[in-house]
Amino acid sequence: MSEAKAFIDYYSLKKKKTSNFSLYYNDLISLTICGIGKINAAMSIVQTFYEFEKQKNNIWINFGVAGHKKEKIGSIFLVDKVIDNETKKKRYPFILDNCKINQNSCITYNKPNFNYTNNLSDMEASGFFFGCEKYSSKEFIHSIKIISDNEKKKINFFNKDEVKSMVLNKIEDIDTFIKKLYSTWTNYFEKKKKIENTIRNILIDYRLTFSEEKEFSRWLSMYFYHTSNLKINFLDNKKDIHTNIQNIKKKLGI
Amino acid sequence: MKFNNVYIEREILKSFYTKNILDKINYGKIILCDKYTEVFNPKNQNFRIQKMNPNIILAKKRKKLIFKTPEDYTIGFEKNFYFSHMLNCVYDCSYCFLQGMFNSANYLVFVNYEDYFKEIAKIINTNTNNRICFFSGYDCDSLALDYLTNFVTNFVDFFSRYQNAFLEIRTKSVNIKPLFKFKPSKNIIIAYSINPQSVIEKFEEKTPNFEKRLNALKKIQEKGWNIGLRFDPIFISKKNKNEYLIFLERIFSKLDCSLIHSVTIGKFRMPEVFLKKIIKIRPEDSFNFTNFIKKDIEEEMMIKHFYSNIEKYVNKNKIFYN
Repeated sequence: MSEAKAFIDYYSLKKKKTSNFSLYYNDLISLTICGIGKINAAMSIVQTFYEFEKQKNNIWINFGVAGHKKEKIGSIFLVDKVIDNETKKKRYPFILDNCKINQNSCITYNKPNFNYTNNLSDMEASGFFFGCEKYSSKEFIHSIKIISDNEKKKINFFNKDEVKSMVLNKIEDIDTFIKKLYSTWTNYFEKKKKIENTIRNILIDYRLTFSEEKEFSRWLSMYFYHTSNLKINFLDNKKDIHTNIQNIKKKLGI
Repeated sequence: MKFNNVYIEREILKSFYTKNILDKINYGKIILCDKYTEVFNPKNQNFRIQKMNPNIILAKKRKKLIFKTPEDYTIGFEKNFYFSHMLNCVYDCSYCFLQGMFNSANYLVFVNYEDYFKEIAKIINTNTNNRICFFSGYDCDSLALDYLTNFVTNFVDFFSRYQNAFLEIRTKSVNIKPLFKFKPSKNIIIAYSINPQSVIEKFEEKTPNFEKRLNALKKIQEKGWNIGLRFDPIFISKKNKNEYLIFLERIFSKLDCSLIHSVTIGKFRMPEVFLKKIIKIRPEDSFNFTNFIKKDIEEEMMIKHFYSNIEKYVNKNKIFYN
């Protein structure tokens, strides 16, 4: 919770009333406090997905504390490989260009691990990655870890202010990373989402079978992408979809 | 060339080829994996987004190193095989089937060339009475990243030992210097995929332009190498028919037609499952793809016309419509 507090303040997030997990949000970002362990992490993904309109291909970022043999307390790392210590399953996030955060691999343990290695050690990352891959593309699933303990030192986890201020020190770097990722996401998905929503709204006016809906969507999508025009005054919901598809084809010159 | 990350299979970390590639690239970090499939194969990847900034994976190809080509695909040999020392390509052709076939756009380079040599030698030695062709450059561009892979140096040298085995190096790249380290070899065919400039501009992003490819072909031919012309995929229609004919004239006026090894013509074709996947990740091109796959009598006639124009320059038995 103390790690989350810094983000809640920084992004002015308000609390959403739900059961099970604490969720915070604004217009763009939501934050879920998953608690400790990979099962909690995976479950919190599912809960978040269903709480926020089941939107696929969103950006998902796990933030949390991790241990490391010698890295300095308070330094942050972007996870480039996550290994589940129990199952030995691995995931390799796709890291976008010019990321300023140093990378490191992370091993997710079932229990707190004090046999420090040169990998980050945490208790959530693998659950997070395995959960998210059902809902998004690998380029948009990341984990950022902040060092809370090493061979010589560890923070006082009960001192909320210490944890919060450690996170606040790095929050600008994390925000830069999020903005970059968001810009890539926008470039690729914004138009796509707009077109998908337009098609969804059009389909409301038609009573179609599953296959008719699929076919009609395909032609509408082709029309919108090809013409970059979302005006639909040539469609007529009183006519059957075959006539409407013919109209689209005419417009496309097919 | 710069990569954010290099993924390397633990088993080949110390391989000579791996070291050689690492010496030639700038990279942020080496990330070890057990098998390349861990990085390359997962389904939840977006080819288009990765294509903006691909990483490189160095791996060992363990199974299925050599494949038979489809039955009817030929450039005049009795038996035909293909292999890929690399998966994915530096170019970004909108019609490319790789984006439908692979989940990841990372460049995957197989560095165990000796294993390829063994498999190829086995096939050659069991087919001593046949002229066999091995095709390279279907799942990548054979020459484009040669400075990293040393493909030409290794494979041209290997094939020069055999009389009855041929290697087609398929490319759009004008990176031809590596070839000139060798004496021209009769059993190597450097085959260029080529289209008129307007088609290149529309569909073949990041590729060398038509004139550059033609100049490369000319140089290669002048040095005494076999060349092949691959009009595949061809996008001929009533609208651009004349452009295609002028394009042919330009090619055949520049090259020595009598020395051309083979010419192939092929329409755009793609398994439906790849096509569906591509339309999903590049919906902006769905209109083009619908046009590409349309079975059209007009296109068939245009291709026949194109074919008969090639016949004016090249002997019919060297022209193949695949």
